[in-house]
Amino acid sequence: MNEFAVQARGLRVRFGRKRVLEGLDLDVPSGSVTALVGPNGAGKSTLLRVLVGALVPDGGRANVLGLNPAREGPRVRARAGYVPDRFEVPRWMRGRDWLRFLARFYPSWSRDEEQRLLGLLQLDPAGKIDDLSKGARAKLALVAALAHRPQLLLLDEPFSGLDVSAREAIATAIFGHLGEEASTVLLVSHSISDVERLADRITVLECGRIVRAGDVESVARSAGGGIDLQSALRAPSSSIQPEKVA
Amino acid sequence: MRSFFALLRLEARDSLFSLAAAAAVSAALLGAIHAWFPMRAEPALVGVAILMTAWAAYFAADSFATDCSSGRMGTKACLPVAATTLWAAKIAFLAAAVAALAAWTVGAELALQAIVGSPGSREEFADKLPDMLVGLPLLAVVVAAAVLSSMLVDGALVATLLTALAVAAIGGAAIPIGRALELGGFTWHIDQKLACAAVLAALLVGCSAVVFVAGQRRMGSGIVRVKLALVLALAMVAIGGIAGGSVIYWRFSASLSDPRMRFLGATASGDGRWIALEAYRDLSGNDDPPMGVWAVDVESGEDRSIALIGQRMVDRYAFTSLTWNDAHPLRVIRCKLLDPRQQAEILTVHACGAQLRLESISEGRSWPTRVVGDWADISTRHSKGQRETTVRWKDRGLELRFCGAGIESAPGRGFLPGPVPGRILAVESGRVVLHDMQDGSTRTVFEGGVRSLHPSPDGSAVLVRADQASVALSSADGALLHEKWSGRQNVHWVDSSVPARVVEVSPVGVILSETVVLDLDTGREFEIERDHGHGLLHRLGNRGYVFVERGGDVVWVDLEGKLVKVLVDR
Repeated sequence: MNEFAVQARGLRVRFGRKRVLEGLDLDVPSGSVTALVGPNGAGKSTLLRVLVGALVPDGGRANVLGLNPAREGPRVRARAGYVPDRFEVPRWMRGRDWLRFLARFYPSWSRDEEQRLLGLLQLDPAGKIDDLSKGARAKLALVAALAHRPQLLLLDEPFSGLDVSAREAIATAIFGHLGEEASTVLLVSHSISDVERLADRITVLECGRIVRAGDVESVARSAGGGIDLQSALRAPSSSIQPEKVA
Repeated sequence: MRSFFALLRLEARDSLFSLAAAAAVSAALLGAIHAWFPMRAEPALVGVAILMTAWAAYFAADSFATDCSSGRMGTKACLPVAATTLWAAKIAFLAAAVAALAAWTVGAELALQAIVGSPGSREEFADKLPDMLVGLPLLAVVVAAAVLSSMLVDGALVATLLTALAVAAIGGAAIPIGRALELGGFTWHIDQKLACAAVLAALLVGCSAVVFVAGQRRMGSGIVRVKLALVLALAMVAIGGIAGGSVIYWRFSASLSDPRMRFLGATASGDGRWIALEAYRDLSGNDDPPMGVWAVDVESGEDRSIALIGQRMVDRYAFTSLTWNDAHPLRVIRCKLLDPRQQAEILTVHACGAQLRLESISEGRSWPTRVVGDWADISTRHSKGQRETTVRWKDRGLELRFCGAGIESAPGRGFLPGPVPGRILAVESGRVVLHDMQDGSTRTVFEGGVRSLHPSPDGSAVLVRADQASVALSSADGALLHEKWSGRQNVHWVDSSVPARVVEVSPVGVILSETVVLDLDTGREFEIERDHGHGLLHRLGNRGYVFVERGGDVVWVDLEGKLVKVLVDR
C-alpha cells in the first residue's frame, strides 16, 4: 500500500481566463480522512473532478491509488467512490434502476453491501429519483459510491442542505465504511462540525492553492486559535462560515 | 462491452417516449398524405424521405445537447468508462434509432399502401424505394452536423436550429466548391458527389468524437463551445471563401481558347473587321452558365473581352443580330460579376478600324428590331390568358389585330410586318397568308400544316416551318425563294448583321455533320464541317462566314467556303 492514496504536484486548471487551480500540491495519506475546506470558488470541486479523471488538468500531474487519472480515468473511477456535488439522472429512473445500472460497471459491486447501506440509510429504492428529497438523493449517491467497496472515497459536499437526521445517517454510513474497509476519504465540506467529527486531517484551499494542511489540531494551532478549529479557519481571509447544528 | 451495452440500453430507455412519439407521428402523417394524395406513390415517397430526415436530425441533435444541459453528462462522466465508450454508445444508439424509425416509416407506408393504396401504387412505391438509398450520404451529413451541433449548444431544439444553419452553410459552401472544382477541370459525377458527402459525414462524426473525448469534460465551458463554433464557422467560411474566390478568378480568367468554351451567337461589324462572340464555359451540372462577350479582330486574330458576364442586344422579335455600324453601334448588356442575373450597364461598342471604343449608356435602352418593317408599330395587350397584338401602320393609322394564346399573336413567329408598308405575312389555320392593309385583301401564299415563321435577320424573308417541309418566302410578297426542304433537313437562317438571306441546311439530329451554306440571293452554296454543339455560324459582312469546325477551332471562311484564317485555335 502506498503511503499516499492521493498525490498532486503543480496542478493547474483554467476555465477560460479564470484560474481555478494554480500549481496545487496535495498529499493525502492512505487511510486518512482528509477534509478539503475553503471559500466558494477556491477550486475544491474542480480538484475532486481532476482526481477522478472527470477533468483533465491543463498542467501538473496527479497520482490516485497509483494511477494517473488523466490517462487512466476509468480505472481510477472503478476503484474510487465519488459523490459529486451535482447528481443528475434521467427522470424516469427509480433508485433501484440507478443502482442496477451502476452495478454493471463495477466488477466489485456488492449487492449485500448495497442492501446493507440502503437499510442503514433507511432509503427506499423503489421511488423515482426525481421525486426524492435532497437528503434521500444524497443517501442514494452515497450508496452508489460505497456499494462497490472503493479504496478511496471522494465526497463533494455530501451534507450540504441536509437536515440533521440525514446528516447523521450519512456520517454513520461513512464511519461504517471506514470501519470495514481500509479506505481513504477526501471530503469537501463547508460544515465545520462535520469536518471536526469526521476528518483527521484538514487541507485549506484558497484561490486554487493550498494555504494550510495538516492534522486538525496542528491546523487549529497554526492560526493561533488554540485547538478551536472554527476560530482557526476564520483567522485567514477565509469566507468559511461554520454551520449551526441543532 | 458490458459497459457499452449498459449505456446503450440507458440511451434506448431514455428515448423510449420520443421514439414511440416519432413512430406515431410518422404513421399519422403518412396517413394524412394518403388522405390528401390518394392513390399516388410519389407524395408518399417524399413524405417518407422528409420524415426520415426530420427524425434523424432530431435524434442526432438531441443526442448530446439534452444530456449536457440537464447535467446528466456530468453524472455519466463519473462512470468508470472511457469517454470513447460514452460517445460510441450514443452514436450506436443514434444509428439504431434512425434505422429503426426508417424501417418503421417504410413499413407503415407499405402497410398503408396495402390497405388504402391503388392497384400498382404499392409496387410503384416499392420499386422507387431503392432510389432513395442514393440520398443516404446526404442524410449522413445532416446527422453528423446535428451530432456536432448537439455538442456545441444546450437543448435539442437549439441544436436542431444550429443543425439547420450548419447544413445550410455546408450547402452554401458546397456550391462554390463544386463550381470551382468544375472550373478547374474536375468533372463531377453523382457518385463522386455522394462519395464526398459520405466522406464529409465521416469527417464530421470523427470531429465530434475528437471534440467529445478531448473536450466533453469541459462542455459546460461557454468559452470552449464558442471557440469550437468559431473554428468550425471560420473553417466553413474560409473553405467557401476560397472556393468562391476561385470561381471569380476562373470567371476573370476565362479565355476563348479554352476547349470547354461553347460559342453561341455573334454579331459582325458592317465592314466585317470585328466579330463579337458570345461564349460560355461548358461545365457538367451547370445548367445556367454565365455567358460572356468577346470581340475578335479577324485581321489580327486578337481578341478582347467586352463583358465577362453579359450578352449582345439582339433583335426584339427574332433574336438575330442587329446592325453594327457607325450609326448603330453594337450594344452589349453587361451583368454584375457576382450576380449574373443582374444587369450592371449597357455598353455601346464602336468599331473604328483596328480600334474598339466602349461607352456606357444610361438611356436609349429601347429594344430595337430589324425584322419588323419601320412602318409598323406593334403593341400587345394581355387579358385572361389571351394576347391581343395590334399592328398599326404609323403613317396611315390603319390597324390589324392578331389574337390568341399561341404563336398566332406572336410577332415574328406568328406574323411578320415585312419591309413593304402595309403587308403582313401571318400564320392562320395552318396556312401562310399575306395581308395587305392598303386594300384590306388577304391572300394565301402557302398551305400545308404551317407551324411557325422564322424571319431572316434583315426581315426580308421568312422560313416557314410546316409539318413535312420548310420553305423560304419573301416577306415582301410571299414569293417562294427556294424549293421545299424535306422534314429530314434542318434549315436555319445564317445570322448576319448586314442584309443577306443565307440558310444552312443539315441533316436532322446529327451534331457533327456536313452542313450546306446556301445564299438564296446568289444561289452560291458550299459545304462546311460544322460542330452543331456550338450555335455559332455568322456572316462576316462581305468577307465570308465564321463558325466552329469539327475540331473545335473558330474559323473564318470566305464566301466560297475556303478557309481564310483560324480565329480561335483550341
